Amino acid sequence: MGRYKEMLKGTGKVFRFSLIQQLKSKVNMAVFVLMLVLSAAAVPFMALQTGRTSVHASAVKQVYLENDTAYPLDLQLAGTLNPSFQDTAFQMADFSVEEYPQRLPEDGVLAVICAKEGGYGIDLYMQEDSGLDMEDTEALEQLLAQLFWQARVSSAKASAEQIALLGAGVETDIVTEEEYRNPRETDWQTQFALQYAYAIIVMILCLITASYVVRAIAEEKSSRLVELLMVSVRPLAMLAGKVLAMMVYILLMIGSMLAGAGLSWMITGRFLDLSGLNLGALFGLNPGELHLGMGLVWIMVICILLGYLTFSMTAGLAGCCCATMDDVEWANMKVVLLVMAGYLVSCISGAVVSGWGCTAVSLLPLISVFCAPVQYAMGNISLGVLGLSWILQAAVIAGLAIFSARVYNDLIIYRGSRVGLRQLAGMAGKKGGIRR
Amino acid sequence: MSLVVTDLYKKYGEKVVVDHLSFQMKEPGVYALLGTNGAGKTTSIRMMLGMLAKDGGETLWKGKPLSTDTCNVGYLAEERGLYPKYSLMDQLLYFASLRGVPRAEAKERIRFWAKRLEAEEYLYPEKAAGTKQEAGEGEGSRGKKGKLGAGSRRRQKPKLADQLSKGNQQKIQLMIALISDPELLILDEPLSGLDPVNTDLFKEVIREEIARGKYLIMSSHQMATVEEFCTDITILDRSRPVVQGNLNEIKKGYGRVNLHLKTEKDAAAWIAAAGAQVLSEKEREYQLKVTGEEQANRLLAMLIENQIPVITFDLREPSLHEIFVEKVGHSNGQI
Repeated sequence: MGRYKEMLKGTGKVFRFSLIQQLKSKVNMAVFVLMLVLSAAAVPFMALQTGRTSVHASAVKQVYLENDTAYPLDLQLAGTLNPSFQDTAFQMADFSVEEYPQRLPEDGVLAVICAKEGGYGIDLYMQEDSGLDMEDTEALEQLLAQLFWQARVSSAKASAEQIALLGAGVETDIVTEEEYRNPRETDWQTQFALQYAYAIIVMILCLITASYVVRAIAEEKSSRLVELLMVSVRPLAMLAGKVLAMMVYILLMIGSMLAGAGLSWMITGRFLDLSGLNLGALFGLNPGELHLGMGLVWIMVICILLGYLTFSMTAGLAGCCCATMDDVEWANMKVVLLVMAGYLVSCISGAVVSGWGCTAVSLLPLISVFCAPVQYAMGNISLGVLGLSWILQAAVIAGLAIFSARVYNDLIIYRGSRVGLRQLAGMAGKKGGIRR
Repeated sequence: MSLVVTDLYKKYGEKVVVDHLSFQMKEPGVYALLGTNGAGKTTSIRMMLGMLAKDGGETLWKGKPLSTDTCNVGYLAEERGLYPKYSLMDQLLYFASLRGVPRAEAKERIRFWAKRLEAEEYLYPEKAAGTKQEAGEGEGSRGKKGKLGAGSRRRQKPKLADQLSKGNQQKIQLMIALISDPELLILDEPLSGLDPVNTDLFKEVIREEIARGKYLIMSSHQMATVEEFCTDITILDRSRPVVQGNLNEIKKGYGRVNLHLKTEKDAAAWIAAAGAQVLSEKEREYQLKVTGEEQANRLLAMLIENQIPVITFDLREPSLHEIFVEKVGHSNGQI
């Protein structure tokens, strides 16, 4: 333990310097600001795209109601049930259907609710040249139908709870014997959606960071600074400081983007209707099925950090194999391919894996980064298996760090081009590569 | 005994790159590691500093294994570089922090070395601009003064490494080596690539460090420079030490066999008669190899006897360059 502590001496100094230089870079700052602006602009843009530009969107401004049934409608509820009608005036009609062409204003609708053969009907009357479109009238039709249904149920003296129960949807499912014997807490669609959403987050995080890490590691070698640095700091400390600095830089960037989006959400919400922006729905997720709690949130955070660290260290190893900055693109591509492979396997596993397969994908290095937390969230693996997955991931991270440091150190004297897999394997097999 | 290097050994595959190198530095001074390209000088230094894993041997500093924890080491590497896009001041402060120098002290040292190495204009551009402006005002030229004044009001940007010439970058690298005020200073080819003015500046700094009682290990191809500073040497030939010891003792061992002779008349016949070997000749200026003082004196007597006016007669020990070429030239296909 003391040996590794010694090897990590100076990590903080390398970390601080690398992070500050990242933040001092004008190009990086420009990217930072651009991302902030884009994330802030995304909220109003998406709100406008969903079409719910305003809660006062309905063009119907006056509704005259003729209720020929025995059930009185509670018109006060109209604005609550559909915010589009918040500014619409609902009132009982003081004219008959025959009079409506003369009496009805252009932005008004006469609604007649009456008994019909075998049930009830709602008829809407409007002027020929009213300009009201189908969307407005359909929304009004639905609203009145809902108000009428509530009026009918209320007349039976049903409580609000009972009304809610009566209005609840019906879910159907086909259960096989296998599923009956081994009940799953969530459905296949939710698992796939969750796997897809989580894997995308990890993938994006890893891909962005990889290019920064590779470049940062290759920078010293390309600038012929390695030898000078190695007098004062061990390769492991050098590598760890660099990788952590790049990770924190990217997290800061993402954090600022989220803060920008959050602030924009608060401001935009004052002017636009944001109820259409449901990211969970976008991915097909049903939060109710995920049993989301603080425990699971923490587990997700730990999993993301471990996965992030795994691929950042992989990028570090790729960076160590670069001889010059010309090799950076090549090294970056290798990491991208590795991340993509893990991502694709996780997506497939989200769709088809069950039973022992869930455990396997949760334990396999690099793939577990994408799969383990989702499998746990879906109840497919236990906390014990998740813990084992973390231990394996931590071991992979430590192994990658130590091996990268060996490669970094060994390549001080290397004069050739980038290092291939065969040479890497040779270094891995060699004893005592790490100095001191 | 301050620095003891014992039996350093390194091989890559079957190729031995450093073959049992041993030497000692009992007291402050300069020790030179000499050799042709690929002889193993830099590899030896890297092993001494612990950058490369050794296959054998050890390096002790005051009885303890040499490391940055046991010894304050300054190193000017053969492979020289700087971060091209970071400010020079940031880089110097970074290296100082890695060497454990407190920030305030590091700033003081940077200021000192910037002045000593005449690099202030790169590290303190505003100050340098101010000095220039003062100089302009001193000249009393109104138009010129006006222009300089306007320019200096703009914020001067600190220089980046890639905006400096190679020689000026080398100054910054030497500053990095000296920033921790090291006890042991290792300079790998310190003067290569420098112009004569900067060479003299670097030499002065090296002399000052020697005078301050520092231990210096120098690796160089420039024999004249080594001869100027070093008391002890090791010449490596294809990984093996072939000559080792005190430079004066080594030279004495060869005896005074080099004769520089300049005459007013042609002396070739008398040189031949005396049995001396002509190494080169240009307009009656001869570089001769003699067997010793006796042969040289015989030649001088013959010249005087035959009324050949002698302008220069300089009998001396072989130079380090000549010893070096003699020892490693054969194996490298020279001579």
